[in-house]
Amino acid sequence: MTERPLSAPGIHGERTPMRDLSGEEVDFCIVGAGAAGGVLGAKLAEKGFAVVLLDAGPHWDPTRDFVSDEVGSRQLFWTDERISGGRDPVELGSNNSGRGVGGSTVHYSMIAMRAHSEDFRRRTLEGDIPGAELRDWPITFDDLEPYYEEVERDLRIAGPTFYPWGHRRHRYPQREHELNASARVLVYGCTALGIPAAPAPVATLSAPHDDRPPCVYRGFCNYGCTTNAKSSVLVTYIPRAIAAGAEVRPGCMAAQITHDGRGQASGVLYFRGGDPSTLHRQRARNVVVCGYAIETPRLLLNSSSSMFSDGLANSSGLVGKCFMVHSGHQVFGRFDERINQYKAPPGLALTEHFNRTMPDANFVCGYAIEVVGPHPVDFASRVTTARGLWGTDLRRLMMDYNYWSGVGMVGEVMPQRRNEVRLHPVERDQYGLPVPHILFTYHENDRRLIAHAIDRMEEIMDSAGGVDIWSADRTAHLLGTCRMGLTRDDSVVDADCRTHDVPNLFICDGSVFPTSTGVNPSLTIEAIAARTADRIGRSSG
Amino acid sequence: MAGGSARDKDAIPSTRYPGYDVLAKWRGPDWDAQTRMVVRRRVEDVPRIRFLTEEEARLLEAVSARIVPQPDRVAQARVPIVAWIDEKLHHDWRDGYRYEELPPLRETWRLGLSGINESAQLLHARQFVSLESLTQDEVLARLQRGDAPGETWTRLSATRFFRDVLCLTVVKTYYAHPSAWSEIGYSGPSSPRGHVRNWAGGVDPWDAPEERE
Amino acid sequence: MTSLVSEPFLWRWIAVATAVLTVIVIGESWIGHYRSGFPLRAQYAPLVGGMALATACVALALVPRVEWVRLAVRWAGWVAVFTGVIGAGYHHYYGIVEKAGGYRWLLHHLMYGAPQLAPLALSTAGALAVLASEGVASAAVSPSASVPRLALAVVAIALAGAVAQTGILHYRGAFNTPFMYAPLALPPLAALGTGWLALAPAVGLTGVVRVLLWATFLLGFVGLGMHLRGLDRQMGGLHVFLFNLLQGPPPLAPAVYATLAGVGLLLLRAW
Repeated sequence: MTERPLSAPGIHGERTPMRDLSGEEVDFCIVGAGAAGGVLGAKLAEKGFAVVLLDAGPHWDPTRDFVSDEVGSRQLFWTDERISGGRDPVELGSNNSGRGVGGSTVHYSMIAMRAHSEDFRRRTLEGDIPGAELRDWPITFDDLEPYYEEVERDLRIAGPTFYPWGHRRHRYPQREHELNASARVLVYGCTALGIPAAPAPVATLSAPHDDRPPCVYRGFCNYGCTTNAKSSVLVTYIPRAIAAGAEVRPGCMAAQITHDGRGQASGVLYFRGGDPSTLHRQRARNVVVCGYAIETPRLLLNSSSSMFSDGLANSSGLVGKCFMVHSGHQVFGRFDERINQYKAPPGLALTEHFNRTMPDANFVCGYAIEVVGPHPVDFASRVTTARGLWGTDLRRLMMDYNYWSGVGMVGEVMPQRRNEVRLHPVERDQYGLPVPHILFTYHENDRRLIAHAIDRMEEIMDSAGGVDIWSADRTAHLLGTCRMGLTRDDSVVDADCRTHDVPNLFICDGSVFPTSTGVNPSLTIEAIAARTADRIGRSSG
Repeated sequence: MAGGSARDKDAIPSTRYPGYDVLAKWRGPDWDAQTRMVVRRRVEDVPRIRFLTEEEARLLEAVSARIVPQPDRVAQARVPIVAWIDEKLHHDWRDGYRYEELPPLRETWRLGLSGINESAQLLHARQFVSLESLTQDEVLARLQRGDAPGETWTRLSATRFFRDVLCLTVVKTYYAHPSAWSEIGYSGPSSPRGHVRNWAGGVDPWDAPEERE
Repeated sequence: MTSLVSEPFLWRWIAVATAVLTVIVIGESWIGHYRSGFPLRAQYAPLVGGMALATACVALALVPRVEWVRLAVRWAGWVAVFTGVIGAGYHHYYGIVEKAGGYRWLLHHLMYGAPQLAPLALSTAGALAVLASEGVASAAVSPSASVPRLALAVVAIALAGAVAQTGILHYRGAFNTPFMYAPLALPPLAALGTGWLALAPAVGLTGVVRVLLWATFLLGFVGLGMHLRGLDRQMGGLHVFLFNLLQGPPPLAPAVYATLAGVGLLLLRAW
């Protein structure tokens, strides 16, 4: 293969030179350049390893590729066909399913929360919940704490000086953002009820850092940040990875992980540029799968062979199983002052007051309540699907769009074996790969938790002075399909994210969560990736 | 045909922002080049019908006029809905998922539209397009409730189709249009300039000014 | 005890410096109040009162002997003092008490609400103007030690207040540029020294305080440049001028250090 100079888009529209590693057997081939893949790619490259990151989507140029328009941002999401079933089928194709270099950190709401020490010991604390498979994590909060600090520093998380929850106080690198109107609604409501609330720690700059300016409160965070204030992996870890000699190869849809006769992973077969006729091969001494909780198990299941007939790394039978989301129901109320909920980042305040197993509750675990700020298309979608409004009723309500405000929950969901991501027996995508079939049904504990949360959210909106209060079903995040654990029969990867079955195959993304926690997962995913990089960097090569 | 009775016209409340046009900020620091490109297409390059048949297009036009009625606008000023849904189906741009009880997108729409006509026939012995607006609303309400008659609905979930495909798509298409943005006082695109007065009651100098009655 | 001679020439320059300080206050007050959208008519008070004060001070510098000019400055000065104090009350109520969370969110509101000490800059200008109207007159009659010492005390207190206000806002900016520590390191020393001299004049200390004040004077100008650079570091820089003016670092505020230090230096030359 002839050497041709490669380049990648920098964050200001410039081109930065990049190594071409396509002809080599690299040390690490990482599938998915998102929250985990980006962190791993940067750290492993900085340790001197030859790293290739494959991503199915484009390498975004923030100066050109992000539009201030909801519908015009469709390309940021995974829009290939997926089938969603179960009694509570999950909505996909938008907020929980990103596509492109930077993954979902390009379009997420940037809320950067740590899990609590209790979250790592749910089985010990709650015991056996019938129908659920609660497990303790094979790592503790203490194991992850230095990595939370590292990632918070790298991402310049803007958070409050005094964060009321978590058993150890820590400092955020930057100060919290000024509350916007919808955040103040949550604070008014919580204050009136005597519930502690706090500014949300968010991954967007409140002061300039290096060559990135602070947030200008556009409010289009969920559609790509043109300011570069948002500390997505795209503008933080990916440039670091490239500067350290990694190659980021966009437009590459991984089809299969190859292995040799000894059962060691040997590389990745992938389609490039949307062309379904040619399979390319990247040879690698180690493979890391970071495709998030649907594409990761799908790739492993698609990689079955005579040696691994049930899919790669699946001796436990757990690949794809125990799929979790967070319950993400939202509650809206109308106010008599203009809220303009779309201004500024959508989630600038929150309360974790209910994020614990509460003594008088009829369910275990808890949830966070955060502010939301949907733009018109998103809000109108809620109004029509959740309230069932159409016709003049819909137009009438939407005329008051600027007067509406809302909050949303991030609720812990039980891991259940019946909730899974599997390969559809019949349907194929444009590459001929089996389409993922996602089955999800809430557990009784989840339903009780949701009911409790909706009551609290309605109280908050009511106490803040909202009227005409209503709620909308929603979920957030994708987790759990390749959980980590101590034994090979009960988990897919170990505490270092190394699969039990294939010593040079790693999985590092939201799939490895044994339990969902009651907070947004991105910071935890990034911290796990930072820790994994240190652990595998030490022992592999 | 799309339109609505005189009763509808009175039912649509007037906008709180009659003097506001989000497109007036087109050349300013709120709209960047890539956003202008995307929205220009939406406003000016309305595609012709390529996937739906003429009858299906007319039916969808009538249905959309009930889902999001626009009697307060003259015909040329109405937000086009059918053209954009047709474009989506023509290119087979899917949503990244579909509920397992629904067939693939194009089939869902074809079936759903024919099902609406089937129900109209069974209930009122006429095509949907030739029904009175209020009667059309009744037919659609039955779909929403799940008690619309017709063999189609044994193959396609009426409630799913109505709520998560038909209404959702029509509503999203409407509120993606700058005319809708102006009517609801949405500040619209904002790059590179963002927002300053982000508190309750705060209105930036470039936001929609309110005209109170 | 050294006898203090109050030279009218220096008091005229102090009147000029006070006018400059007042213009800074008017400018920043306009930016902040415009940003808030002028929801209260009272927010015009510092603009009107400030303009009257600045005009009177300039007149005093030009024609110090005219009796009614001195009277006008004294009146405008006292009005400014009270306007500033009342303004601080407004800032406290609307910036903290009335806001979501109230005192429980004190640090948040200190960072983002109406700046608590800023209105007292107008009071400072007013106090200096009143003292200038005295100083200009009294030299013609007999040396009075209390007026320059009072003025030094005002400068010391005002510098301390400026440091506190700067501290909270630079903290909000996460000290993203190392130079943001400078106004918290140097001016406090100048404030301490100036205050000491106001309470207990000592010849040996004067030299040190002069150096500190000169450094603070220069710091004000460097600060102006830094804030301009900070404005340019925002998205769109100076091309999105109005937005960044409202959102970025206050463009005139660092000059407060220069004017206060300037007044201090003028007072010490009179020693």
